[in-house]
Amino acid sequence: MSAQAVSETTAAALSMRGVWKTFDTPRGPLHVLRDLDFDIAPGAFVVITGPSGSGKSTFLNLASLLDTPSRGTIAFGGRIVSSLTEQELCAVRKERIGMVFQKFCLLTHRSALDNVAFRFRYLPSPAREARRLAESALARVGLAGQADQAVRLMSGGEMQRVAIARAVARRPDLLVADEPTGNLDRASAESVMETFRALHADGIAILLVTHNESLLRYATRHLVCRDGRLEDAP
Amino acid sequence: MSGALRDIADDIRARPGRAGLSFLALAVGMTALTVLLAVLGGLRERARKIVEELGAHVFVITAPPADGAAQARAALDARHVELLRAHLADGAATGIRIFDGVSAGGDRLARVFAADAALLEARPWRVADGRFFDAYDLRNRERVAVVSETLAVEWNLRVGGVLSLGEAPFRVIGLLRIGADALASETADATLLPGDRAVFVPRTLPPYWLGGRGADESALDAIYVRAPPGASVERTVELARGLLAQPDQRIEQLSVLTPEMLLQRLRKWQDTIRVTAGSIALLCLILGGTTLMSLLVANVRERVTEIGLRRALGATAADIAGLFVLEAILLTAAAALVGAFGTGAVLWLSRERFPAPLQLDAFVLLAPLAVAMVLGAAFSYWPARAAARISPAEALRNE
Repeated sequence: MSAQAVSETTAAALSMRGVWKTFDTPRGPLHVLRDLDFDIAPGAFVVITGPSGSGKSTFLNLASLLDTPSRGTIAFGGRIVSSLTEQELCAVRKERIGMVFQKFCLLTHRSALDNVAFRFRYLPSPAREARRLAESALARVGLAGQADQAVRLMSGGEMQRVAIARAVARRPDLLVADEPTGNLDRASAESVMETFRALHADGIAILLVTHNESLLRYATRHLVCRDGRLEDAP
Repeated sequence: MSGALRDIADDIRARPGRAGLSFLALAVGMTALTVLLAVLGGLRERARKIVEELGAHVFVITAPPADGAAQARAALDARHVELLRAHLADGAATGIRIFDGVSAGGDRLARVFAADAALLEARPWRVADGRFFDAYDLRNRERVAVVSETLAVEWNLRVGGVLSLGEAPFRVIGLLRIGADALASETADATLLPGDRAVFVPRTLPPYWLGGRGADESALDAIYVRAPPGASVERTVELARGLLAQPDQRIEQLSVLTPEMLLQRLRKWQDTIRVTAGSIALLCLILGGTTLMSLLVANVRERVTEIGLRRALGATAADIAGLFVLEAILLTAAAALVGAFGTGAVLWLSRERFPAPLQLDAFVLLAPLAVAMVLGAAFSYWPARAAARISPAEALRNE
């Protein structure tokens, strides 16, 4: 895809055109994503489902700019990602993308507040300001009273809410979540999804991958990943 | 920076055993390095002082007896000094005769040095009070004496006072400050080391203290020679040997002692310590470095997900590498500070009983710190590079 074509999609927070992701294996090249086109507009809530091994996580890695495509073009906020330097790419990641992981990815020996403030570790925010924003984000996910608690002592639902608070402590343009309720019981999963819903209502674009079909009611768009391609769900 | 320090402190708290082991190995290495530097510095300083106490560019000529001990050192005389002076335009040559066990009244015994006015041109002794004898004293055979400061204190002598040598009164005209602590550690030879009870008198005086026994007044026990400026001691020694070896000088065997000869024992010490303590320090530091590297390699493996998280939060590859390099440098620097300052304190407290001279200065304490930082950077390079190369996507898949 040309730069001209990407510029036509500048309205999208994230745009992919003709994206392939191929891994070299002993049995030959493995095409995990095939000629994939995708856009997510600011404020959209896109949920992607699909069977295991269909390429969802690989897609999310590309969407969160943690990986590069084998072929094709990815644009974020209208800028072609492949043209960015490492510094610029890292700046996009830290300033404009929030990430939530299935297993939370928390620093378990630190407190909830420290984990959320870690969002600012590579941002030039003063420590006091980072702490204030972290407290605010924890309050937003309903954990204001547990800011000083070590996360290893928290429940799975609470840990995931800490992880979400970390992702949104600095307001991202795009929040990417990989199976955020995968390790949670039903009640915790509902609580977490309510948090996502509130963030969506706040105008943050959310891209969420899940196996849990019951979460689809929160989505503005549902895509199915199948054989390395994304299709709108029927 | 504070964020990085916090990260490092957290990591060390999370894995105290491994970090502690690295710290210990490095601290032992730094201890060995500090001892090595302190001892080598001490020996170097002692060597410098020995040369200073002997006199810069000074060597000593003695002439052993030709046929046994009875004529000990009688082969040199004033003519030889004059010969050397004539050929050493800007240098200096002066002779001394030594009389041991001279009665100085009561049961006091002194070591008398019969010398001339040029003695202080060759030896670096300083007049602390009064004056040294001069050409007038020598020409007129004045019965004057210059005593060492230590003797003046011990016998309560002052400039203007009188000292008896063999019952002949001598007027004390000066006190001489003789620094010889370092020299005393290497030799007890009276030609080099006057000792605490030294009295200097003009060489032209007859030896009253011999009780009428005749003595060759021009005979000398030793000649001090200071090489001329710009001339090496070795070349001046060769010149002196050549001059004194002429048949008409009647010297069969010359003995020359140069500063370098005096320092030979110290040089052997230095070489031995450099090899032994140096090997120990090197081995300890390599052991500490490899332990540190294994700590970092294990850390990288255990912290793959955290590395992925950091990359997801915007860390560059350089930020990740810097995290491990900084951790290594801080750990080695802390080990260096503890090892160097701890060892420095122990050496300082035990300096009197330590079997070698020590030098404890800023260099000795800070050089291990510099070595530690280089070591930390070197041994963390590979683990840090490996950490920086981890793909963020791969790292988070590890979750």
